[in-house]
Amino acid sequence: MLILLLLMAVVHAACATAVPPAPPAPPPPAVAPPDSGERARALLARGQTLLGAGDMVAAAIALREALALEPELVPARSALGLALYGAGDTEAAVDELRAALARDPAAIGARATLGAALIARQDWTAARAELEEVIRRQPDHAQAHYGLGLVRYAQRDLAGAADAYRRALSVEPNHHDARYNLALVLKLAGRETEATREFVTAAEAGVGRAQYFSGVAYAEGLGVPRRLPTAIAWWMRAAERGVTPAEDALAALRQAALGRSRRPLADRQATEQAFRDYRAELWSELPDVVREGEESAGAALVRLRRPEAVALLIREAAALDDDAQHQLELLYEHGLPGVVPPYDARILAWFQTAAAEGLTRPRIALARVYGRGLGVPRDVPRAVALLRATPHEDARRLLEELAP
Amino acid sequence: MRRPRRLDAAIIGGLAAVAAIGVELAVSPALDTAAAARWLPARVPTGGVVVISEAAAASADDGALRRLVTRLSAAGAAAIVLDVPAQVPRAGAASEALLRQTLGQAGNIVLTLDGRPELASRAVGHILDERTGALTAIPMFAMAGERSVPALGVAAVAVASDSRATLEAGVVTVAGHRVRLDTRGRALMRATEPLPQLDLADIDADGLASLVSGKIVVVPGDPAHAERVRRQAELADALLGDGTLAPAPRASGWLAALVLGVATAWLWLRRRWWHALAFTLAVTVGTLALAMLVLRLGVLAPLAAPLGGLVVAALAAIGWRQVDARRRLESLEAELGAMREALARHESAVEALEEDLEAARAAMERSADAARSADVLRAQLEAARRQEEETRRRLDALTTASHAVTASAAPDDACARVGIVTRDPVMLALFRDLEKAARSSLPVLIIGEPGTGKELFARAAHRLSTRAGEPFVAVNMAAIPPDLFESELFGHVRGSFTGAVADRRGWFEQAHRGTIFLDEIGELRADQQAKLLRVLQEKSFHRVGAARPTSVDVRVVAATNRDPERAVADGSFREDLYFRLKGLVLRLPPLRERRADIALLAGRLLQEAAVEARRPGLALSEAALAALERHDWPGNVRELQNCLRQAAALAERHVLVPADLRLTEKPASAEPHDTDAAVLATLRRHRFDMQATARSLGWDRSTVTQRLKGLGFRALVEARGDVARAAAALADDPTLSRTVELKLREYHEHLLRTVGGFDSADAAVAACRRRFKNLPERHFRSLEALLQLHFSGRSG
Repeated sequence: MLILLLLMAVVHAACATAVPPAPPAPPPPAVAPPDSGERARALLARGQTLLGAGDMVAAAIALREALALEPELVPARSALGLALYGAGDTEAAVDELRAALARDPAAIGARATLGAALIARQDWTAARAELEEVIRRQPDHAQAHYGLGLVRYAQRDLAGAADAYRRALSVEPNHHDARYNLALVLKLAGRETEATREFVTAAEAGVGRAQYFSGVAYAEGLGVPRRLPTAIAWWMRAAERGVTPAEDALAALRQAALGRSRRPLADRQATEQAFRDYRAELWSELPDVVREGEESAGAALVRLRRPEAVALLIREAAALDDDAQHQLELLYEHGLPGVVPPYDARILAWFQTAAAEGLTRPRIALARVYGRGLGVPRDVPRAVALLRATPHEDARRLLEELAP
Repeated sequence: MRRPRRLDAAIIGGLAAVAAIGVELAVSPALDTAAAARWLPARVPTGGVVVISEAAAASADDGALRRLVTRLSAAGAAAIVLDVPAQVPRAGAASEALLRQTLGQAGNIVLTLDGRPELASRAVGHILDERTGALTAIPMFAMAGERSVPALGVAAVAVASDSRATLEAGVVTVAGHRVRLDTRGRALMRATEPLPQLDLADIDADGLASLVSGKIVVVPGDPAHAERVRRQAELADALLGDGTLAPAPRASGWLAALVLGVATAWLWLRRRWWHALAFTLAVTVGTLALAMLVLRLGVLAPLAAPLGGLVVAALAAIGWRQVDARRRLESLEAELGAMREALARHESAVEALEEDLEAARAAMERSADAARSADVLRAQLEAARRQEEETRRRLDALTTASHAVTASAAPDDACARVGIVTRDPVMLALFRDLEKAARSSLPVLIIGEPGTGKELFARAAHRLSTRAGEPFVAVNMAAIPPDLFESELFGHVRGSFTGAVADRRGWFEQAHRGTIFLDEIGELRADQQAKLLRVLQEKSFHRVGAARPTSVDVRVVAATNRDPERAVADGSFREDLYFRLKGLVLRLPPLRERRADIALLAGRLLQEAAVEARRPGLALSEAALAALERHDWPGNVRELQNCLRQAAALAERHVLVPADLRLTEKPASAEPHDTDAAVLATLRRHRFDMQATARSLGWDRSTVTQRLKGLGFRALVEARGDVARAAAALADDPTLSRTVELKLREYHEHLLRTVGGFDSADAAVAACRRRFKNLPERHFRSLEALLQLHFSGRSG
């Protein structure tokens, strides 16, 4: 949404500059100071700057001041509408934008923003009318096509939505949201092959949810050959971006590989193998590193004292590599002098996630962290609770140590 | 042509069944299910279905719903039933795609039809249902467009068991569970105790698997559906626990209605009422018991139609029985009337011929023609006698039939309810008259020997009247001291005489709005009669010593053991008072004239005597009963009661023999029975049947005929030749007037035929003296007066 807003701000500013010169100003009111027009334009410029910086509230204040000095200053009213929309005051934004358009129906930026505000209000019919008017006036308005896609999806017109997204992409091929949404509506329409192609493109551009759906496509063979290691790779990348379904999917796979789900044995073995394959394929990301013996990619980076070692080790641990888990425990406690400080937050976050998932080694590691107060306030009861729920020899020993 | 009763029963039973089936079609199965719901406790859930709390479900957005499904699926839920609200979009295409992804991965999702069927799911189910009492009827399949959609609960069980629900011949089979459907394709589900419920804390807890593994989990969504989705969850549980009810085939209820209707109607029409009532109650209880029994076995038996048929048939049969009896009675009474008239004519003809024959015999000695005439008369007389006998025989048969109908139309239990024990047709007929007259304020005069039940009839007159809720005051007039007569009957004011220390309400005032029973009315002195007459005329009286009159609204029932007409005739009873009292006259027959009641009464009275004497189990031997029936009982029922009390107290055996009864034959009554009044009373008692009267008096029939003829001539003179008026006066009962009128007319015409050839009254009288030799002398005065009237009219 923020990206969308900034994009709109930029477009809006461009439109504002493209606005033809205002007709001759009417005689200034008797009470206004003689330089009010200049001051209003200065405030407009300031407001636009603040909009570009994302400070919507400050921008709205400056723009209101500008309009107080010169009420007929359409670019200021359009920009105020955008600022209010960005600040979340959709109703006021709609009012200001409609007021601006009443003064200048050709204000494309104001109309596009009005379309977006109406979408936020879920007033699909009105939004569609405004966006179609924008497109009629400016057929290559990518944002309007994108907004129209959202509207048509909401109106359960999946084909129309896909068409709108494609038009947005034809104008702006790097419109990743349009591509991701295109993939979604294609998927919802059952056009899996096309959907996967678009998902993968968006995923490669770094759209987290698209990475998750790319993983789904490879896991289930939707439009691509079924390949679990690739699915794991996409889900790992999505999980690193905080996409929860990807984390859940990986957790479910780990449970399957550890034999904790109801899946048949063959599935379990295939999943274990997929994790192994994934770990092996991590080497492809390190073309410049020479492997020594059977070491893992993460271990190689530790050996080479490279800072990206932690991220890679976490991926390997998440792919059920016990060595990587062990390395992470050492790294957390002692750090890698000069490269990774002790008590790295990323490692702790992994321990917490994996412990909650019920993985044995991370639970013991987390219990040690809390029991000894390693980078966190010491919390023996929590450590004991973790250990008691973990049937393992190391857990028993640590429990004896913490609660003799 | 009369239909046989069996056909009546079939028609009534059939119509009752049709009516009951009609009602059943209109309200079914509400009545049956309401009864079932009352008898069946709510079933305990199997535990195979758990429900997410509505609060938890309502708070779940798409993300929470995905997480919920993921958790439940991972925990091993056998099926997850989702009622996903249909609002679109929930949170955009991404959310929708993710939800679909999650549901697809879970693999065992069941959705509601009006949720979002385009989401990935194994099955879709409808949530239609219908409350029928405490039961719920759920269509097991419903058409959605062109496809058949199972109920949500059925779909859930099918998914959980990885099977399909099939419908064949009204039976749905799913995962080995069979459910019989009603005619509208619905399963009937018992009320269920609340299903196990999970909230969000349970879902996030580690032990979720133990709560949901292998179970159906229902996630309500749209609050508008929550109740119906809950019932579908109960349906799934009922299917797993075989907790549905199988409705019995509807035709079985209809058949039962028909059979019970016909059987009940037949019993009410053909059997005694208590047999029919017992059957009706027994069948009702039996039907209910059977329904309860089969309900325990999971079958909903039809109740509305069979019981409706039974009740309607019973009521219709009772009504029909009354109508039929009334119709038959009316027909019989009409026939009886005609037959009585015929008998009267035949009797008169016989009597006239006998007289003519007698006259002819006297003349035989004088001429041969007379002898021939006597032969002809003899032949005519024989023929007339045969006709009379035939008519009498038919009359007896009709009377018996009439009594039988009367007994069936007015069951003697109505009598028994007011304490009158009898099956005697005369008593029952009197009771029926009393029932009819009771609702009016008509005075009732009860005449009967002591102990014949006068007070019982008086109380019955009160209980059957609209005054039943008001006082009944019985006053024995003979027991009131003469000087206290006014004070007792009308009350007094304080100080009105010595000893009147306070105001006192008399019997009349105490009976205000109710009934006063004046017993032994024949014992009143002349002055007392005058006072009583004034009260009856004015409906008000003065308390002794009071200046103002007191008005009362009282129904008077009087009784006497004396013949009031005789008392009027001999001047001991005021005629005007008699006419005031004789609204409805009931002449209670003495016990000796209803001997059939003796066994019935003896049984009842002996039981009471045995209880009184604390000797349970006393019984009468056959010989003792025969002795009782032979005895004349001048003291009537009271004497019988005392006899049995004495026997119960003194007998040494449990079975009483004649000796225990200590009956002594009393000499015949010294009371003369040959006075005109006595003869007239006997004639009236026997409804002017000459033969029965003659038998009762121990005379031959011609003597009775002559006495009636004399009485008739006197009545005709008093009525100045108006035969109808004379007959009414003699009959003293409108139902007998016609019979008496026929006889009087015949006597009068015979008299006129006899004197037809004479020119003067004197000559005619002389001839009549020769002709009517057996007519008592005192009646010739009337005959002379009649002839004077005749000849004066002829000459005028």
